[in-house]
Amino acid sequence: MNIMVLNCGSSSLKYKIIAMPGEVELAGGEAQRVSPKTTEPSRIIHRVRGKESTHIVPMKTHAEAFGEVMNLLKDNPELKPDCLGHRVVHGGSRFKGSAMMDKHSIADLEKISGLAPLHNPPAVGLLKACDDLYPDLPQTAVFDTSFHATIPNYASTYALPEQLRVDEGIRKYGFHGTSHRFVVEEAARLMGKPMNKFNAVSCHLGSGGASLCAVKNGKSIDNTMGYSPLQGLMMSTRSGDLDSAIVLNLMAQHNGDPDAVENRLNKQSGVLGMSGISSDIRDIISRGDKSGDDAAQMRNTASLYVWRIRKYLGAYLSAVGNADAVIFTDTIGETMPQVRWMVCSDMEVFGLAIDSEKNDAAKELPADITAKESRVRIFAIATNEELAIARQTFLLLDKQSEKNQEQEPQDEDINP
Amino acid sequence: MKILILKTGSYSLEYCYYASEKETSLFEGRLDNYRYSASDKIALQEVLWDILKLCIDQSNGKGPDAVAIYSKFGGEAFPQPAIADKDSLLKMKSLIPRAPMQIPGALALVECCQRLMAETPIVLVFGTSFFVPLPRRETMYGLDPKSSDAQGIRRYGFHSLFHEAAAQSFNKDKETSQKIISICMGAQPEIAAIMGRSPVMVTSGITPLEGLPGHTTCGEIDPSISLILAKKFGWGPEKIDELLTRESGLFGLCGERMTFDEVFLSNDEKHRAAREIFQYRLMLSCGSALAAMGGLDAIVFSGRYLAAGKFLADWLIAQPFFHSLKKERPYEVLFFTKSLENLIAQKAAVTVLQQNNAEYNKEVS
Repeated sequence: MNIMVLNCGSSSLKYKIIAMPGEVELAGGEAQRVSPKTTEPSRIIHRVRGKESTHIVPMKTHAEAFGEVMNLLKDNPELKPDCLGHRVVHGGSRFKGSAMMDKHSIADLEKISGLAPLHNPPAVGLLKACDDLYPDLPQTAVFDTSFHATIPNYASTYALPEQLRVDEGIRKYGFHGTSHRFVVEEAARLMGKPMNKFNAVSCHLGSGGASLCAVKNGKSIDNTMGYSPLQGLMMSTRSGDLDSAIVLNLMAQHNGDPDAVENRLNKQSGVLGMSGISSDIRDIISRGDKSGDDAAQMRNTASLYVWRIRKYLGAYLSAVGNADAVIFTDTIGETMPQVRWMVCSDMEVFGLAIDSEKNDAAKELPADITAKESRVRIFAIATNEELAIARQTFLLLDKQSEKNQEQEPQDEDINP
Repeated sequence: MKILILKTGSYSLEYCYYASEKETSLFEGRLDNYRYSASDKIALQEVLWDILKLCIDQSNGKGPDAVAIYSKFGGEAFPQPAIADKDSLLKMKSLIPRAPMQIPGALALVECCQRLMAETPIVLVFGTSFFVPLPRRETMYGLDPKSSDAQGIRRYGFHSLFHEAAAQSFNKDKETSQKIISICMGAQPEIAAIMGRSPVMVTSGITPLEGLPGHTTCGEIDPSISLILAKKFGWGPEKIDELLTRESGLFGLCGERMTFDEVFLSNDEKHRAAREIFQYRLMLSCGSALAAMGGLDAIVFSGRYLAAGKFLADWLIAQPFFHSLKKERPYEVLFFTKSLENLIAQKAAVTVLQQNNAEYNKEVS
């Protein structure tokens, strides 16, 4: 069975076709500059078995982009998808697990678009369009939030008035769940431990967003992101944790305009805002040891980036109790040994010691970079959200076919 | 030495007449919902005059030996207490934009005291002093540093006197630099990581709103929440500030006004959520402090709500991580019982004596 995994960015559509259950990637690519107006023409970079081709085609919407990708697939019948698995950022409290998506559940998802106003609407639009264009193709949605549905109330509740907590539903949701679950499962497998007895802290350090996740008995018990992805670590352009007094101050400075402040905190802060030159921590760390006017600021940026990760790592190792592993993943976590080193060194109090040689040598992942004396294992593991989505989708379909059709499976956690 | 202590908050004025040798308060009181406004100077002077009369009654017709004016915020200008003179008052005036709710009130107190007791030394004591030398990685926010620096945006701790004295009480007799988690249980609790005499981490932010939840303050929340409220309800910064600082925390969680002692000493089921949320946040912050220091020699609780502190200490060391850590690398758990008034009086007395010595030395040379 071919599962086509779809991931909508604000102006891009990434796709992968994965044959299941063999987990073989058949094709993939990205439609870029999907927008009504672009300075450069929109295009699809399409890959089939390592061969890449570029197709310039106008694509105003994600639905059009999807149609064009399906056109490209026409020539190869063996690539024809049997099911679509959508990555969706926010499932709210309605979707606590991955779900089959029909007209009803798409409508439900649309109702909670406000929870992720930048990310959810394109995915909802695409779900609707696929449902119209290919009504026979089953669709699933795999949510960034659903792995975190197990976060206990004491960790997800903000100390706010009842009106905001209860009536407005303001609480911690947590994000990057698909990736955290994937790498934690991989680490449990590497250590030969059953997931439901596995304790870990997973560090998803992306080139854009980043979050830490505390996992106890295979379940997420905390995540550094909150109601939105702005909370927690300092990220490429997001400030991360901030005294709310600063937010209110900024609002006053921007004549009470919350959109201006939102834009500033989400798009002009973090590594970019601090360094003034790049949103990519890799650029900052590589320039940190040079001299010059901006060298101090580069060092400050790198040191704050790492310091925040360390503080949360300590917090989560305490919360998890007897951790089996600390896992680094995504672009920065996978490719930056310096970051892993700075985060893990001098953490013996947590039973954590990193091996500098293994760490520097870790090119092929997964890699175990633990020092001999370390009680907690340290891994660098490549995340693969597309594969995780394909796996979830495959499981959902499997479950669906087992069930008789009188009952509509919805809202089920497939990994109870 | 008898010291009149005046504490200004954003919403109250507290006073205490303290005998520093005997370590006892002779009398104390509090004006609630006191909010300084420029037009109120005469009213303030009358209030002070009444307090001063009480002092004189207590000390056989003599006024206080010194006045200590306590302000939570002192910024980078005050890494130590200072005698109120031209220079220090000028510095304090420059802090008005940083703490517009507190500094003008404190300045007005100084002015009134100078008028009523021209000969009595006035000592300015601040809640932020101990945290002025926090390492830069701990003070920074992930924002453009140019505008942060220009606006004085950085992290502080606000319970300096407790943290400093609690750490000192554990440090004395120790030869090496100790790693201490200092937990101050005030109405706005605060956790600091202290290595030897230097703070390396603290939970509060540019205000005490960040960090742990308090009696009515929300503590750490997603920064986007304020923006969402502004968008959805059209609320302005003042309204949201009121909600986050006056209607959140234990009050927001319990639905009634409760102190930490009340919440943690009651077995009431309806306050369980508040207890669990606070405990968990406390544990996370202790974990961060541990990571900041890379070790632990002692956890010291201090502050007004020590009964809650004792409950929390028992809870914390029973948690799996801190329990097994205690077995592997034993650390002490201590309670520092001195009151804020005691600590302010000590600081004030020392500052006055230093000033006298300095003047004496000047005259001699």
